[in-house]
Amino acid sequence: VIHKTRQDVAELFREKLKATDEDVADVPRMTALARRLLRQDFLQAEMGITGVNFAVAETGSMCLVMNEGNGRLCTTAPRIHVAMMGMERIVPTLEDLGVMLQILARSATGQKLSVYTNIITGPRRGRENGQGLESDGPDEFHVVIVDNGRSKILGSELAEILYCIRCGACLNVCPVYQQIGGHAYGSVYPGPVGAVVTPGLHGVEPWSELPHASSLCGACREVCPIRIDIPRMLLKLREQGTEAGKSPAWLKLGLRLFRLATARPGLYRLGGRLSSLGTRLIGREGWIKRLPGPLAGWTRQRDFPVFAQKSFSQRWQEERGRKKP
Amino acid sequence: MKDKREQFLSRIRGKLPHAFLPEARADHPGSFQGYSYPQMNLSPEGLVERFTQELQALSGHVYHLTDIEQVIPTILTILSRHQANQIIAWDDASLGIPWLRRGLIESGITLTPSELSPEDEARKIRLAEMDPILVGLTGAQGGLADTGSIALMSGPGRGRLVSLLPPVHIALLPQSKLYPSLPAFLAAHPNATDASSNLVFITGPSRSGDIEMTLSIGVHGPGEVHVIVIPQ
Repeated sequence: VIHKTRQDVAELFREKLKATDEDVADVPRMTALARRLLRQDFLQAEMGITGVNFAVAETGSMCLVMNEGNGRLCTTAPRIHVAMMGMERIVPTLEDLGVMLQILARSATGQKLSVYTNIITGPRRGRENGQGLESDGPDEFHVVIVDNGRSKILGSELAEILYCIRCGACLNVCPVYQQIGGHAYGSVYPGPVGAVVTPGLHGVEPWSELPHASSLCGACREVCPIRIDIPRMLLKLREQGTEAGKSPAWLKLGLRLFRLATARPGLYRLGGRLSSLGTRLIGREGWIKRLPGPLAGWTRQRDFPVFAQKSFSQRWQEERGRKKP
Repeated sequence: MKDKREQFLSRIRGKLPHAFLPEARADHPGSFQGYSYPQMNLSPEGLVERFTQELQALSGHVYHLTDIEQVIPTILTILSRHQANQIIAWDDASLGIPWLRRGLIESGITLTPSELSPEDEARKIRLAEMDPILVGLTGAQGGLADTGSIALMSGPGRGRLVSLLPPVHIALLPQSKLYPSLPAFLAAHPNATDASSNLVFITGPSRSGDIEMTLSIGVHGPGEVHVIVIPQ
């Protein structure tokens, strides 16, 4: 609910949970209401389904990291625990897990360690090990390891993204994410990492626009504790999108014309002069409110500046001429 | 099932050699060799001090006992603040103080274990019984100085719900079990996952910032964590 205001949440609680005004007076009271109602569900449930932050190959352990404690309830109260994990969640040893845990909370929320770092190795142990039955915990434990496109990523130039530990640091610094929010990415993985993972898992063609949701400022690479080179992969995906013929015809035509003109100085100067003249003709006080024809979209939400009377190269030549002894 | 698993694994084996992974080899996914933990050379007193600072910063409570006899009065003070006379607790061996249970019972406190049946209905009944209990009393297999965490290992007589279900959690931590950090604890307990099906590091009270990033304490787990550091 982090994208909703407290008023939105209060309204939702009133509508769906028949909460009173007093129940939703402030955030702690709303949280207390959620605790009270969800507690009954946790205690009545016969199966708990969770994700996994890390799994340890050496010991067969699953590590779940959380602050609220819901993940501990899911893995303790119900008789059956089912853990679902992407196949890239596995680290080799317990020592490696120690490294990852040092990194995860610091990069995610700035905590030194999340409130609950829960390491689970199988269901509760029975009498067969010579001791008594463990007091509580699930009697059945199932792990579902999911590929769902990950092996496709593994074989590609995007493999590096599988190192991601889902800390979310890249989301917090991304200027695009800050403006558009998580839902705009259209998949469970938002932000810069999502712009790589989603096309990687589900194909570039349906998601060819997603890698363009970036200014390539590199803040994500800078802040990533694993140093995953996200901008490199965004560029790679843009290239693949273009090769798959996913760029619109007008863009291709425009770029072809641009190449034609910029490679010929005479043509470039002529184009510049014509644009300057054209914009001054339709502009008022230095700004154009509406561009004509196919360019109209550009001015739908902003004005377009009139080109300067003299181009940079004209002024450059004049200045140089003046300075010469 | 077996075929599917083989397919799954061979798909990975087939892709790994082509993967663009800076540190990996075809037979190994890459590891963190060369990473070293910041070493903390703290005296036993230094460890307690750091642990206390860290846990208090997270609004946890820490008590230093100079005399083990103080443990019962300390627990009773916390219980009386909540008007609690019924608690769920680990068994005597796991709490590590043989006379503790008798002392508490003599003070009018009822102690029950967290015991769940493998059968659904009986299980739900016991969970409903435990739900209103306000305080849980556990031992601790370790403390982490640099994060203010306690390590709890589940087992017979050491229920997980004791540190989770009640709104108040009291843990007894022998001073000798303080470690500088989580990696140091794991290094000292290489068999922790063989010894216990659930090892949990608890770092302060349950918290959430899900609504407008406003901090709420005591979301699904305890809102109060009291750690009583027991002298050697």
